[in-house]
Amino acid sequence: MRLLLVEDNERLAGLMAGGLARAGFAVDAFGSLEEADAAVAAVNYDLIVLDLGLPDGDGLAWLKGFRARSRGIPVLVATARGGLDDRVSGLDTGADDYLVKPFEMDELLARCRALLRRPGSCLATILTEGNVAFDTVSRRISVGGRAIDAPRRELDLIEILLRRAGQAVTRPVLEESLYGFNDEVTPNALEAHVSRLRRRLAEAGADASIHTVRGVGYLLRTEGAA
Amino acid sequence: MTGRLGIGGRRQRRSVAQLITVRLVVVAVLVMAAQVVLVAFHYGLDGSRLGLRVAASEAQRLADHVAPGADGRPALDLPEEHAGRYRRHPDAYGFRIVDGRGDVVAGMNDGLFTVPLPEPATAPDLFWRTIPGGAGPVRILAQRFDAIEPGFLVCIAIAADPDHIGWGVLAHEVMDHVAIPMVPLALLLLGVNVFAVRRTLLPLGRAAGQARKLDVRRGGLRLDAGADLPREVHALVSAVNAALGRADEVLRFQRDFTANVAHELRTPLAVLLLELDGIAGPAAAAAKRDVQAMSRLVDQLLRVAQLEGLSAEPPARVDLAEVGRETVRRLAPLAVDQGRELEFQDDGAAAVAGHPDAIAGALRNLVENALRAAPRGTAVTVVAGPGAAIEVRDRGPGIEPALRDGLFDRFAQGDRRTRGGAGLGLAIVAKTMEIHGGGVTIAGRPGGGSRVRLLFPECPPP
Repeated sequence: MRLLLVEDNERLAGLMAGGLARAGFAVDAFGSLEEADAAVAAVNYDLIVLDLGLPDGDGLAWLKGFRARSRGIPVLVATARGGLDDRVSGLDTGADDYLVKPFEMDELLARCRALLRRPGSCLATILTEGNVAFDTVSRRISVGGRAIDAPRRELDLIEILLRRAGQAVTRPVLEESLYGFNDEVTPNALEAHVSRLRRRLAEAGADASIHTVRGVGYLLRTEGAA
Repeated sequence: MTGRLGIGGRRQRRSVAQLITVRLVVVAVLVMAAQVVLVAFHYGLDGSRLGLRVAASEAQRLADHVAPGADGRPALDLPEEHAGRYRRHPDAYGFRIVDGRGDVVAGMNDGLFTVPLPEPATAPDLFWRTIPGGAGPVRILAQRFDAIEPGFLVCIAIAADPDHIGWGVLAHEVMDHVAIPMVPLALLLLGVNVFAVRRTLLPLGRAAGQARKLDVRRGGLRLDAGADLPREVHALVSAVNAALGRADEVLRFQRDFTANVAHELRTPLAVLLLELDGIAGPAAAAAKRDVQAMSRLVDQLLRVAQLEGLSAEPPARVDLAEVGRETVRRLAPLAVDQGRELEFQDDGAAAVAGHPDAIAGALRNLVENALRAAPRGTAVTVVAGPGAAIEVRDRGPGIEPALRDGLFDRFAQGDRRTRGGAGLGLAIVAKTMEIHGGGVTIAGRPGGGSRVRLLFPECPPP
């Protein structure tokens, strides 16, 4: 995975590049929009991490121009501007995700992976959280390398939860993805699927589990974090 | 919280209309008094003029009592209260009434007529003489009343005025020449003045009303300097607006300064945090926690600065259930990491008018506090509604009633030993609710823990 990092603070750029490189990304770091322009013209990047306040201009303005030229490459904005308006305008301009400084390396890596994992992106084939993995092509779950069997609905369920691992997914979102228009959805259907999948994961010794967020939905997260 | 602007002391202030009314009445009374003095002076200088008036009025009164008698001829039928004057003062008043044929119809104290009177046939309309007498001048008048009978004469002699008939005549004169023309004029002037003053001051009252409702902390607010303002009022409104403008600048500077400082701190904090990631050991972990706490504080400072600017923006329609559900969804991973449960419950929440980001921020602060306070394995519940309220319930140690009041001051904390917050969280909550015209209540929960409730004013349906 080749990643372009545009950040003018040299120390921060160094630290970010180091962390990303350790996670297996090939990172090119530049401190200005001019250099970034030259880089995207020369290299086909898989992901761009962009700061907004740069010495030769505003990152958002650059992003706008960049989006007009290239749609496919995901862009993660990492900036000190953290207001809601900033987030909204950032995402509206074409950023795929928005990370406010200060952030932790884990968070940056998770966001980068999530962007590359999105449908249509390259990292889409195997989704993992802890020792739970799901192959989106063969549609098989494995826990600690050992494959386990599950019916289709539970496979769909684990895929959605894995795509948004670490985030609570709301009931309407889950129901919409799991059931077609003609399916009869009883109020307890989702609960039943979740509890069966939960038991299946526990029996296989998974270290990620499905947490209930009552009144909202479900959340897949690795045990024992923090 | 907002102190009402005191208006002067206890003394009731008088209105301009009142002041003008009092002054105009005083002026009118003075002018009338001056005219009365003038009239009196006028008659006083020339006794003969008043004498003529007195005699003429007396002649008229006698003539009024003349009516056709039993033989069809004009006869005097003088009532006693009038005749009494002539009886009591034979040396002062006298009269003689002569009909058109020259016969004396009636008369009293005739001795006062010391000069021959004109013959009825040849008499002028008015005969008037002043004759020097022993006790002073005697005034003699003969007046024709052709309406009664051609050549009908009423003659009056007045040597003195012990009954003060003169005063009555003078009063009549004053009435006719002073009161009747002056009083309506004074009343008209008064009315026009009061009306004009009231009209002129109307915009001042409007400006005062606006100023009373003005919340200086909101900024960007001005009094309405409409075209109908008189110049003097306009000057005041302009001056107040200029002062408001300067207050706005100070406010904006303070806000921007806070925001800029917080903003500038974020990149070095990011460097610090990533730097610490590369260092192992308990000291680095402790330092990392400090950096995280500092980041939270910087976040909260920025949020405070944003809140200060927020009240100037128009509110939107905010669905409290939506805000509650989204906040729980966002914070659920944090709760899971900390080994607590986070729940959402919709008890029929209403929509309110407000700033969704600010409300979500306040709620997030409360949930983060509750998650810190709640023991592991317990649940923190966000309950939207019923109505225009949203509440966070936890099973933490609760907050002592004595500590609840000061809790919402900036940097105040209920108990610093058990809470790891930056201290601005509850101040942000309080400020947010102040902007929304709502309030915060803290209560205990049966079975332990606390309930922090955000109350909003009801939003009218769209």
